[in-house]
Amino acid sequence: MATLREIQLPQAAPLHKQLLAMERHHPGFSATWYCDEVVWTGLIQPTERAHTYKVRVTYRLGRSPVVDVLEPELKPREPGKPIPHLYKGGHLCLFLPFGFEWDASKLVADTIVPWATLWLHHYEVWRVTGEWLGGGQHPRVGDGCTQ
Amino acid sequence: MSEIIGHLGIEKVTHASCVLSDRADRVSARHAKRKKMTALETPVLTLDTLLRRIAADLRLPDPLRALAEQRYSSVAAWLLAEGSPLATARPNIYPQGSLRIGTTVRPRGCNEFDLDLVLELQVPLVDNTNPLKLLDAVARRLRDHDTYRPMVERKNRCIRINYSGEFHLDILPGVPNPGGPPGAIYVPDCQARAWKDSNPKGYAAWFDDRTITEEQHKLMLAGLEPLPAATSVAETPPLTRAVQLIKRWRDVAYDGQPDLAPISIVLTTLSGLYYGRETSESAAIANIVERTRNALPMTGRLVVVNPTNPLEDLSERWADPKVYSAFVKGLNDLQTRWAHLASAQGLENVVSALEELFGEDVVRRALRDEVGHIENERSHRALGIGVGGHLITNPTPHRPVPKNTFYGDAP
Repeated sequence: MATLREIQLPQAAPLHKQLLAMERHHPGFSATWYCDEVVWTGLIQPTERAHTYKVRVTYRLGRSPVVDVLEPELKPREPGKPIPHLYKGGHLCLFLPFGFEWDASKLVADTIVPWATLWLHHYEVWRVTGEWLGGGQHPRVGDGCTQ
Repeated sequence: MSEIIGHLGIEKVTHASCVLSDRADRVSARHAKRKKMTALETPVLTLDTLLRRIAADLRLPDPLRALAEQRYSSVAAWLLAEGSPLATARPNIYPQGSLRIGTTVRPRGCNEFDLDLVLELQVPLVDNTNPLKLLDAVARRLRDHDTYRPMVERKNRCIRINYSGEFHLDILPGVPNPGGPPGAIYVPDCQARAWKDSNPKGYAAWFDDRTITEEQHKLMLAGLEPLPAATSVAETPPLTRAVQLIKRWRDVAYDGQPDLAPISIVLTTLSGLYYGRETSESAAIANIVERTRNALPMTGRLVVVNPTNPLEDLSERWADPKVYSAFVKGLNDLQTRWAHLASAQGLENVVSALEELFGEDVVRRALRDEVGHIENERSHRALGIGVGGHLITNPTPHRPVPKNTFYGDAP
C-alpha cells in the first residue's frame, strides 16, 4: 500500500529547460520571459496546404500552458454555433485536465506545440466536413472547459 | 589479443583487421537503417495524397477486376469449347485499353464499368473475311449459351456482354496481322465494313514504358532492375493516376455533352507523350496540360497519332471544328483550374477546388480516408512533427506526438 512518502509529484521542468527545448525543436517561435512566466509566439502550419496560424503559448511555471490563436481568427461554421474544443476565453482545449495528460515535468515543445498543430489540422477538417474527427471528450458541468 | 577482445564484448576474432571490418559493417548497417527510416518520413494531407486517394477511389476495385478476369476466361472457354464453330480459330481473349494499363475510372452516376477486351481469332485475313460476318458468328455462338443469351448486345464493331450490377465487357474481334510488329492485329473499323490496323498490346507496352519515373529511370541506368509491373493500388505509377484524374475531369467538365468530350485514348496518349517522369501527380498533370497547350498549332488542329502506328489518327473526331474547339476550351479551363488548385491555401479552398474538378462525393471520401489514416497513425504513436512544422508519419528520430484528448464542449 502506497504511503504519502512514496507518492511523488512530478518535478516541474525548470523554465530554462523549456526554453531550450522550444529553441531546439521549434526555432521559429520567439520567446519573451519574465520571472516564472514565458510567452512564446510563432507560426504553425499543420499540413502543407493548410492556413498558417500565428499562435501564442503562455506558460507560468507549474500552471497549465495556455494556447491562443492570434490570427487568422478562428471562425465557426455557422454564426452562434461554437467551435469544438475551445475554452470560454478562446484558448485551445488540448488535453484532459487534472494532470492526466499534461504535467509540469513535460516539455511544452514535445506536447503543447504538437497538440496545437493537431488541433489546427482538425479545426480545418471540421470547417470542411462539419465533423470533429480528432476524437475528444466532453466535460461534465463544472469541469472548467465550457463554452 | 582474443581474450581482450572478448572482454570488450566484440565477437571473438583471429586478427585486428577482422575487428575493423566487422565494425565498419555494423556502422554502415546503422547508416543504411537510418537512411531507410528517413525515407519513410511522410508528410500527411498533401495535395498529392488527396489526388492519390481520389484516383484509388475511381479505379476498378481489385475484386471486380478478378471477377472480370474470371468472366472473360469463361467466355473464351465457351468460344473454344467442342461444338463451337469458332473453335478452330483458337479464340483468345485479352484485356486492352484502361483495363490493361490500369487507368479505369468509375463512370458517373450508377453506370457500370466499361471494360475493353480483344477477342483474337486465328483466321487469315482474306478478301472474303467480312468483319460483320465475324461479329455475327461470335454473337451467334454466345447466344447459343443460355447464360449469355440475355446479356449479349451487338454494338457497331464490338459485342457487349452486360453483367448487370458488375460491368460491361466490350469484346472487339481481331485477326492477326502477321506482317506487322509484335501484337499487330486487324480490327473492324467504325462501321465494321472494313478492317483497320490496330495493336492494343503494342500500345499498352508503349504506355507501360512511359510510366517510368525519374527514380526508376536512374535505377535502370545504374543497371539495376526496375520495379515490377504495378499491381496494388499503392504501387500505381504517377502517370497512371494522372490519366485517371484527367479522365475524371473530362467526365465532370463535359457532363451531359458526350459528343463533345475528348475520347479516352486521345487523353491517355497525350498524357503518355507529355509526361515528364514526375513523381508528383499534381506536377505531372500541370506539365501534361501545359505541354499539350504548347503543342496546339496556330492554324488547323492538333493531330494525335497512335504512337505504335503513326498512320492512325486517334483524334479523327477533331476534324469536326465544333468538337475540336470544345477540347481547346476545356483544356484552357483545366489549366486555369489547375493553377488555382496549385496556389490554393487553406484546406477549405483546396477541397473546394478539387470538388469543382472531380466532383464532391469522391473528394469528400478521399479527405475522410486521409484523415482516418492520420488518426490511425496517431493512435499508434506514429505521427510526429517534421522539419517544416507539418504533421508527418514515421518521425525520425522517433519523437511521436504524445497521447492527448481534445477537451471541451460538444459544438
